[in-house]
Amino acid sequence: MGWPKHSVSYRRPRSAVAVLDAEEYSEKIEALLLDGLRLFQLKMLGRSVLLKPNLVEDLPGPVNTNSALIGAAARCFLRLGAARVVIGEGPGHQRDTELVVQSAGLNPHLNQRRIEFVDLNRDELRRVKLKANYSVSFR
Amino acid sequence: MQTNVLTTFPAAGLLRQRELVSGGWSYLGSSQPALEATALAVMALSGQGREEAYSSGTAELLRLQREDGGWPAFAGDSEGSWTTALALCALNGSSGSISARERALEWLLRERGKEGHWFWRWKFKTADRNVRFDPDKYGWPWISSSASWVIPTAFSIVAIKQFTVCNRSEASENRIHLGVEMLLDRACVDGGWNSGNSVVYGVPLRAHVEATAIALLALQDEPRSELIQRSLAWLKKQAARVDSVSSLGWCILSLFVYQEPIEALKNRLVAIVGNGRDIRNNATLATGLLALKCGEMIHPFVVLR
Repeated sequence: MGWPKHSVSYRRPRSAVAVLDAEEYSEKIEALLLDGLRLFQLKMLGRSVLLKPNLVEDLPGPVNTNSALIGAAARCFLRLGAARVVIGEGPGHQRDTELVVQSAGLNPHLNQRRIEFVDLNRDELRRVKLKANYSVSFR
Repeated sequence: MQTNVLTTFPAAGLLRQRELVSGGWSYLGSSQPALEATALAVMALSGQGREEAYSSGTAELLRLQREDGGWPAFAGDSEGSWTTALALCALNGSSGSISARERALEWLLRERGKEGHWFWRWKFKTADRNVRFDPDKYGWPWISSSASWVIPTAFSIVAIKQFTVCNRSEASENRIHLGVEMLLDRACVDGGWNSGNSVVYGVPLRAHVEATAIALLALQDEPRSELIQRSLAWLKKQAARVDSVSSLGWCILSLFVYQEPIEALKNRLVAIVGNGRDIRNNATLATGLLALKCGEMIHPFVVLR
């Protein structure tokens, strides 16, 4: 294997984060998110965006990321110029992904143009060359 | 059931069209065959006037069998998996492929959940007590070297029961018995099955529709205990309201072997499946077709007594 090609950075990584205050999951959340995303001055034109929410169980409750938030985020990225938004999830215990998506209330958002869902448990696997050699390859 | 015939035929044709040029079926339009989708498609196209697809699908299944007798989850994977049980069920639908099926049986008899190893049994009995289960009762994992789960165990029990129906050896009887014991041990408090356990950190888990339906398939010829009756009642209640093709399909396949009425469920499934074009996942499409054909063909998961 030899030595790792990547060196370790001891500088603390810093991410840009916005904490937005919302009282409830409602239609208002889209405007709030859009204002929040604009703070980052993202260059979204023509880009593909992958949203990875937590969809765990076939329950409408808080175990799943609220569908109003997922839908609002997807529409915000489209409004900022993204070409498409893919929502990807592969539930770890509940095998019926369709049932989880239905129960989480995501279907109305997936009926909108340029918003699609990918089942990460079953979608195509591709070999990806890694930048580091800690693993030989990852699929 | 005229509506069924008219509606399933285009969906069966669609499944046939989605067979990969290289053979087999992928889940979602990939070029890489997935064994779950392939095994279910072979079953679904059996006796559907699609014998060519059935034959080529069976040939692809045989080609993908590993030297050790197991089948990988995806073509090209380097290890056998739970799909070995599904492939064996698919091959059990015909009288041929004896050698391949015998090797599959041997693989299934060798394979065991991690609790099957004394060290892990000891760990779960002494140090790791957050999940309430009896480690002496183990079944089959999704992939080697992992713990027993409900669905792989249930399919393995069905496959072994089917293949050894006329020739039960002590080894196969022991594994069937142990697998059944494991399922009964892992049942949820209120009936039905979650994916693997019933109580974690003192919290009872809720049952899942697919896991319950498939576990009940494995228990179809076992004594109708109070637990099985309770789980069946739970499944019937869920079947009346579930709207996903896969879960509803497994409900129908399971309730049928318990001689429960399924016509209303099939009619609902017909409406959901339509011409099948909205169902991108080939394993789901095949499951839907199998459920719609329930009662009109030999049930692929039936266990003869």
